[in-house]
Parts: sequence; structure tokens; C-alpha cells
Amino acid sequence: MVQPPSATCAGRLNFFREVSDVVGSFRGDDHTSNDHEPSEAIVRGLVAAAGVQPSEAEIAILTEAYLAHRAAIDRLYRIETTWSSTPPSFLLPGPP
Amino acid sequence: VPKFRDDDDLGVSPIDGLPLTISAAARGLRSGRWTAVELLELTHRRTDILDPLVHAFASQCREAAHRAAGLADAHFASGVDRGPLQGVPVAIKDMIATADAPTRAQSSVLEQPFFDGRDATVVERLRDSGAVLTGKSVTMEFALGVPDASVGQVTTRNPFDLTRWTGGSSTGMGAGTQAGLFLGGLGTDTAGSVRLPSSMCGITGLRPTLGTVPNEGVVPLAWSLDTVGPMARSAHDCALILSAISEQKDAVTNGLTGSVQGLRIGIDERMSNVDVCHQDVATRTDEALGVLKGLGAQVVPIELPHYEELSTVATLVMCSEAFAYHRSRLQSHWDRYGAGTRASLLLGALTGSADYVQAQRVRRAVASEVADLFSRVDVVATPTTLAPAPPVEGLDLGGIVALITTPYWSALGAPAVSFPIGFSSEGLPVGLQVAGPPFADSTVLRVADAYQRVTGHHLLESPEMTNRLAQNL
Repeated sequence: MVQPPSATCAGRLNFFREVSDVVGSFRGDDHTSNDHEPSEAIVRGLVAAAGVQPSEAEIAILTEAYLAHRAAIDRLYRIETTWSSTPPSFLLPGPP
Repeated sequence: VPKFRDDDDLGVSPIDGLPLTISAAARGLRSGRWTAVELLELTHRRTDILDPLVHAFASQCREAAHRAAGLADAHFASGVDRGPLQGVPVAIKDMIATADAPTRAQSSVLEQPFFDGRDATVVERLRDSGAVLTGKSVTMEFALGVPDASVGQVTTRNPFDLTRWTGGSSTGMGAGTQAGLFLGGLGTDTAGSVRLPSSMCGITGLRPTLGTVPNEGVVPLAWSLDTVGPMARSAHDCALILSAISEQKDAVTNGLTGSVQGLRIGIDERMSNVDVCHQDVATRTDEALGVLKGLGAQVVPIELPHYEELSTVATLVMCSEAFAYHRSRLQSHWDRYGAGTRASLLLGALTGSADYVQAQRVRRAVASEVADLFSRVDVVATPTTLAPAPPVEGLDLGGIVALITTPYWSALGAPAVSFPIGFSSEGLPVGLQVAGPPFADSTVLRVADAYQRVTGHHLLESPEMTNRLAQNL
């Protein structure tokens, strides 16, 4: 058997582990719901705004995933220290 | 016209006489060993035997391919030589438009005919170079997610072990090239979709510098990350294909000098030690670096700036842009998408506009830091994946993504090649990724080519496939 890595980049993995949970849920895997009422409201709102209609099982897992997803995004704001004037780059790279 | 190497080992399969590389085929076509039609028929025979096992083809266009091969032979006979791809059988990932086969992206919702049934620009360029297009290779749905049989999606199998996955999303290109159903072709790479199947299937694949290969006629996944890339057995073959489709032309092949003397290779120990990756991957990586050091390269310890954050950025940007492209279809055809595809796309729905802008700002900021890094080293090497190909059974997106090192370079728009460096104890291929600064495509290919001039991993066929061939020929 291929052995999984014994350690990985933890922050990155938290994000992807949640992705995995979402996929598992969409396949109909078992999952255990926790009390994520604020997250659930946010997820339902975002999904409704997007105009898509996932199942209740999909909503439940998205809700569970949301906090880690949000935390991964928030880390992107925290690394900004010395480049506050840096604009976004929608086309990379520039000319040589 | 770019030149092919005439000092190349012919690399012919002992099973059925198929040339394994484009360089070998090009030599044989010019020496009269094969005609283009004979070469095509060799691949068709393999396809008939092996494709029912690996499922590399989404569709084939045999009549059109025969016409193209016949035209290539007529050109040879009349002294017309359009370069080393003339008469060579290749395939195109089913994300790239072709006039003689449908483009479906393994989806039932993509509008038909995609791109008005015309050739993508890269396909036009391949045809102009005389390549023989044999068909469309399987992709994961819209190059995203994981295969979902519940909506009729095909799962391509790894030629080295049919219970294992190929890596994605250019699944059919990886399996089909390894199995000899074609000698190479075009994949697409957003966060690793050329490099991952190349690594897991034991072939070579290049993600070119972003923007140097035209995307017209390619189904979008994420506009600011997508690129077409060549896949073939060898780095030299990838250079030949890239020369045909990109703006960089002959500069790519001319740069393959075979020398890495004095080249500085950065190594981030966080990604290549046994605490992080599979023991066999760590061992093969050390061995490969040893080969390159033996050729005169220097290995320099480095730390990639903001590795975790930039890898997250690649995924966030991909999911956000993909959601923008798919939103309308998701609203009307939710149940016709695969579960993994829906899950990935919904992550885009959970990402705000400011988050997307911040992710793009991080790209630019980290690109600046990495530019500084490339003043100290010429290229950076990492394992392409932290473990060999996972089993198809129980395949999950999170588990896959946790194993890959490719998104970082996608976010930078940088060129990165994956090439085979040996096998795990279970006989599964292991790949090394070598990345460089933007427009250093020739440099990263030079490293892979230099390695392949003194090793033979890229020419090894799957025992599973050769046994099946031997039983059926």
C-alpha cells in the first residue's frame, strides 16, 4: 500500500481536508453534524445568492467545512506586512 | 524547423516494434523504417488491446487520422518535411477543441459543438506541423474534481497497476502515452493537471510559462491559471511539441544542450524528507539529485516563500474562476455535474470578492519574493507528488490535493516539468518536478533532458501493458 505522508503542511491540509469532506458528503458518505448555526446561515445565504440548489446533506457538509475554509482565506490577509501597495495581478507573469 | 536529436537511442518497444518516443519515430520515418500509416496502425493495434483496460480515449477519429498519416507519407515522398512531428500519432485532451472529434470535457452539460466545432489554435499548430491526431483523451469533468461513476464518468486506469489512479486531470494523456496508444500530445494544466498524470504514469509533462501558449478553443477552468502543456515520454519530445504550439519556438529545443554543469538547483527540505513524503519518493528524489550532481549541478538548500499560503491561493483562485464560468450551468443542471466537481465549484461560491482580490495580491507579492529566490538558484526541484499513485477505490479529492506540490508554481505562472525518476517498491512511477522563473521553460526541460540522457526510466514500459500485448499479438 502507498503510505500517506506522515506529516504535511498543516494549514494547507486543513483547507483541503474540508474539501475532502465535502466530496465525501456529496457521494453520500456518512458524516456527523455539529452545531454550526452561524456558519449554516452564512452558507445558506451564499449558496442562495449563487442560485444553486445543493441537497441538505451537501449544505450540512459545506457548513462543517466553512470555518476551515474561512480560516484558510483569513490567513492570506495576515501575511500582508510590507506590501500594502501591491496591486492584484490578474495576468502573470509580466514580460521578461 | 526545429531539429530532432539524431543521437537518440531509437527506444523501440521489443514487444511490437512501436517507437516509444517522438524522436525515435521521427528518425524511423525519415530512414524508411516505418511509414506514417504503419506507425498509426501500430498505435491502433495497441489501442484495440489496451484501451479497454486503461480507458485513455474519450473518442477516436481513425478515418481522419489515416488521411493525415497518408498526407504525411505523401509529403515525405515528395521531399516536404514540416518538422519532427510530421507523421507522429498524438492525442488531444478532451478540454481542447478539435474539428474532427467532439469536445465534451467529460460533461453532459457543455454546449455542443464547443468552439463552433473548430480547431483550437494549438491544434491548428499541431496539424500545421504534420502531427497525426488520433483522438481525444479522457479528462476529469471540466478538469476538476474526481471521477464520479454515478453520472456516467469514466475513470482512467494507471498502466502500471490498473487498480491505481493516473493522476489528473489529463488522465487519458498520462495513461495513453505510457501505454503507447499515441506518442504524446496536449494536456492542460491549471493546478497540476499535466504534471500529476505525468508523474503517476511515468512520463514527462511540462506546464509552460503562463501566456506563452494560446488558450483559444480550450474549455476554461480558471482563466488566470490555465495553460496547455505538452506530455510525452521524454523532455526532448515535450520540447518538440512545445516548439510547435508556443511562441517560444526553436529556443526551447535549442536550449537542450545536455549540460547542467554549474546549474544551481534549489531544494526545499520540507517537501522531500521522509517526515513529509513516502519513503520511496524521498529515496528516488535523493537518487535523482545525486545523478544531477554527478552531471555537475549544485544543490542549494532553500525555503520556498509562503508555500502554504500560495498553494491555498491557487486553489481559491481556481475554484472562484471556475465557479464564475459554471454558475449558470450549475443553476440549471446541478444534478448532471459529478459530486467532486460540484464540491470544488461550491468552494468558489463560498469565497468573497475581496478574498479573490486578496488572493491575487498574494500571488503578485509572493512572485516578487520568488523572483529574489531565483537570483540565488536557477531552478527548484521537489517531488511532483508526495506519494505514488493512490488506489482508484476510495479516491478522494482532499487526499489527492494533500499529496501534490504543483499548485504553488501554477500560482506563479512559472514553468515546471515533471519527469520520471524511478519506481516505488510496488512498481509505481515516481516523478520529480523542476520549476524555474517565468520564461525558463528551456532551462527546466534542459534539466530533465540531461537526466534522461544518462538514465532510462522514461523509456520503461509498464510490465502489465507489455504482458497484455504479448498475450494478444
